Amino acid sequence: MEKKAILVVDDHYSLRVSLKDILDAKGYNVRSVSNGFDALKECDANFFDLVIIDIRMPGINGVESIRQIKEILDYAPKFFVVTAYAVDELREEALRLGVEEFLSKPIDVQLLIKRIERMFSQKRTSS
Amino acid sequence: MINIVANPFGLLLKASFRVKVAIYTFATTVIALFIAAIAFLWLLNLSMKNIVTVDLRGTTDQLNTSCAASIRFGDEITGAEYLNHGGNQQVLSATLYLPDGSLFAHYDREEQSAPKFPGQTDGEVHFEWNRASILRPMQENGELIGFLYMVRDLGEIYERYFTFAWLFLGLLFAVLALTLLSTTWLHGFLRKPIQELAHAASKVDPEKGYSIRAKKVGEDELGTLTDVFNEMMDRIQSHEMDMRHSQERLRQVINLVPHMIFAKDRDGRLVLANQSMADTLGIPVEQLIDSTASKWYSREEYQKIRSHDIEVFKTDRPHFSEEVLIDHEGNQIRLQTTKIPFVQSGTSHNVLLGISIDVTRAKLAEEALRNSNDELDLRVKERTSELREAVARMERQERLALVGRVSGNIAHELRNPLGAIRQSIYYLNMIFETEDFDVKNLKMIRKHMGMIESEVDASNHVITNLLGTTQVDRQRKKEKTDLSDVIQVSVQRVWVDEWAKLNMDVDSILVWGDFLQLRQLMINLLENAKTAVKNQSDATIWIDTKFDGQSAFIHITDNGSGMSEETLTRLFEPLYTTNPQGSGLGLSICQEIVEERHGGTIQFESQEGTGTQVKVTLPLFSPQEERPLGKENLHTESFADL
Repeated sequence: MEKKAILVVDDHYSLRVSLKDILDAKGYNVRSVSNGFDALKECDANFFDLVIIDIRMPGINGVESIRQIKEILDYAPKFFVVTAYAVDELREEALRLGVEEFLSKPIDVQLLIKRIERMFSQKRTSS
Repeated sequence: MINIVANPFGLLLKASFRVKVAIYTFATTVIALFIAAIAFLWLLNLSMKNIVTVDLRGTTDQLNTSCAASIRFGDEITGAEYLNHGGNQQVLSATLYLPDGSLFAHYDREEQSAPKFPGQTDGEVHFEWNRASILRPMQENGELIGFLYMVRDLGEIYERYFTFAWLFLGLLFAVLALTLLSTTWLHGFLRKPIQELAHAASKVDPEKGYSIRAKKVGEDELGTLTDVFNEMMDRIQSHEMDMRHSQERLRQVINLVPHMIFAKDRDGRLVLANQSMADTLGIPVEQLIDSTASKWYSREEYQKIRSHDIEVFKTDRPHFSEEVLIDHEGNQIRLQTTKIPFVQSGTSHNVLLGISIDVTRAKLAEEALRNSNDELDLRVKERTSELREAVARMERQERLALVGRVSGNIAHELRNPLGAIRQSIYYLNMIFETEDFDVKNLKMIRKHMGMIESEVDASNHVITNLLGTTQVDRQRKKEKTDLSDVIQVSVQRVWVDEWAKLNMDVDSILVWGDFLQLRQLMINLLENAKTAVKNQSDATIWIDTKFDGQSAFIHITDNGSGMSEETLTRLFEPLYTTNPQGSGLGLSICQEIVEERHGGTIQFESQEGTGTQVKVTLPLFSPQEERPLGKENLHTESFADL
């Protein structure tokens, strides 16, 4: 079975790196970038099944990145959005764009992994 | 009557024109007749005397000759016969005297005895009352032979006089009749135009106008007089019309005036009143005239008004007063009255001209305005306090929101490192749970341990920063500090020259202070200046230091956006900020550092659009205040903190 590809987008170095290491260890093919622009480039260059993206980032924010990715790519990766706030106008926007999950900071890693696994298994059964 | 009777001329003057003309004409004619009669009588008398004289002389001349012979012959009888026949009928008596005056012969018509020898031998005729006599000497050959004395009566003369008298009387009556006739005729001439005039004049009535004209009779002086009279009437009528018109206009004007206009005499009686007054009082103008104001005012008010009137008459000056009048509907009217002394034209009567303006509405409006102003004041006060409360509420809410935002930011800042730590720990747990523990794992463990450590440090830094901006540590000690060091460090920290040109004129000045706190002060002030000049084209920040015997002065000036009045007054208020990213704590911390901790002063001067200047005064370092320094080098510590 081919490894699922995941892209982690976060401006905070430790967060990004630790999450990549965890998901690597879990057997996923993970890449990580620090901003929306790089995320766009990465998505364009490689195929990803899932993008985990922080909603609040300097430069292009998470939602804007999602919109552009969705616009440019000829495939549709799933999106997990990480947000620090329960109420956020970007969250509303993200909802409209259609994302898979919302994750609160700090990320409950166990929950995250469960959801990733559930998503991929559902996908498998449905397809 | 008595006077008139006592004075006949008076009676005459009172008599009618006709009687006067009759009397004057008659009297004049009679007087003229009398004068003519007297002259005529005088002339008649003269001529009669002449006739008598000639007659007597002629008669005596005749007898003289015939009688001379009788005397010569002494024939008395013949002589008497001569005397008897020689005279005419008028001869009363004829007598012959001898030269010695003795009687010779005598004739008497009425058979009377011979008169005594008259003795007057001048030969002239002597006139007496009713007779004339002559004594003529008789001479013959130059010898006096006797005298002839003849007396003649004047009967025929008196007869003439008598005739004349009758004639005169007749003439007189004729004249009288003529006079009466002529006066009647004259009267006809004079009376008619004069009567016309008199009639016309008597019909002239100022009340009914001056339209009467006299009928012109004839073109004589009376005709002219009538013309003149009529012209005069024309003029009077036109003047009267003019006067009526102007009076009418005046009345219209004063009736148009919506204020009460009146004139009063000294007794307070109205001599003029306009329609407005009549309307107000409900009494027609005609009835107002001659009445006093006592009915329309209260007794007290009327006395006041009268005293004003009297004052106006006395001082001859205008008077202004306010009065309260009850109108015909019983309403109380407030009047503002002006009274002016006034002399009626053509008379010396002083009157008082008054104008009363109804100011009831204005007064009511004034009161209403005052009341509503009071009410408005009250409402404004209420609203103001409501507004204040609302503002205070809003401020509280804003501050709460700000606190929320600040704490939100802090939470966010802390969540990232905490999240990273959690993830690293999760990863480490995963590693430890796996069986194949190799070098690669060890390397990863070290990496994540390092990450955890650095995130812990980051969290600590967040907390330290927060403490740095919100708290001034009161326990710190002061020491000798160089202001130029503080400023240098702060300028590097803030990166002022990123957005602005920096002009520094900073000397090395020693103050008695806490380096870290002063650095915090400078950083906060420079951050503010930097924010103020952001996006300014020629943005400049000046830092100057000065000192005198006691104090050091730091001036930080910028040419930025400046501050509003409100901002200036609220500068030091904790949590007050105009910067969305600001905490509103910076300047309150500055104030605490300068004033509480260092005993200095901090002042702001600012103008919107021009810039801001901050003036900080700090006490200079003095050797007496020097405390023994602790082991730690505060400068070094401060750098480490950065």
